[in-house]
Amino acid sequence: MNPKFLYELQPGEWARIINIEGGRGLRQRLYLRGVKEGDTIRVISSIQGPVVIEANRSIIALGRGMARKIRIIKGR
Amino acid sequence: MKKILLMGNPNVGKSVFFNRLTGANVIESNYPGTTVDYTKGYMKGDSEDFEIIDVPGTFSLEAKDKAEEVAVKMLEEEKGALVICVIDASKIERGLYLCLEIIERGYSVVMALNMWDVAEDKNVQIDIEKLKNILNIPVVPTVAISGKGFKEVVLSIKKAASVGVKEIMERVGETK
Repeated sequence: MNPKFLYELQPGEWARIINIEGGRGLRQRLYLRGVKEGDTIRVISSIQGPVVIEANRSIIALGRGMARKIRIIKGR
Repeated sequence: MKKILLMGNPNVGKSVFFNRLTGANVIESNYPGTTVDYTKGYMKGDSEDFEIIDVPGTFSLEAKDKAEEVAVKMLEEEKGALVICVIDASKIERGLYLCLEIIERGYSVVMALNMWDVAEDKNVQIDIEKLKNILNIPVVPTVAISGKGFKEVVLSIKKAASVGVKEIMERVGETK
C-alpha cells in the first residue's frame, strides 16, 4: 500500500508534504519549526516513538499524533 | 542601567552569546531547551554598562510551554529594554517570525545572525545589506563560539531604534 501519511514512511525515504490536516494550533506549530506544505522532507527515524524528519536543513521530532495528520506523497 | 534581552528560537546559541558578552559560565549544550529560566549578567560598554538577560528560547510570543511563558513574561516585564534577536543563520527563515513579532511590539532590536560559519558550510547565502535595508535595524553576522562579530554587536546597540512593521512590509513589497 502506498503511504499516505508521514508516520507510514520508512527511515531514509523521501516525501513531499501535500497537506497538514490539523487545526490552527498544529499548523502554527509546524510552520514555526520550518515544516510547511510543499516541502520535501526526509525521514530519519519512524519505527517507534517520535517521527524524526529533516526539513529545510533542520531536524525536527514530531509526535506520532502529529505525524498522523501530515499527508504526503512519496518521492522527492 | 540599560537592559538587553537575548531572545531567539531554541538552540540558536543564546547562552553561548550570553557567556561571550558577560564572561559568565551558564550551561550551554547542543540541544533545544537547555535554558528554562532566565539568567542575568553585566557587560561593560564603552560609555555605559548594560544588564544582559539570557531568556529561554521561544518560537513565537504565544507561549506554548513553561519555558516559553518565562520568555514572553520577561519581554513584557522589560518594556523599554533592547532586544538582541539571535537567529541561526543556517535556518534564518525560522527565526525571522519571532524577530518580527518583537519588532511589532515596539522594541529596539539588533539582529544577530549567529552560526554564520555553519551557514557558510551549508552554502547558505544571506544578503545582509538587503536585510538591513528592509528591516532598518542593525544586522550583524556572528559566530558565538569563536567571538566573531561581537564588537559590531556591541557597537550597533547604540544604533538600534524601534521601527514600524508596516514600513517593513512596504519595503518587502518594493524589493520583490
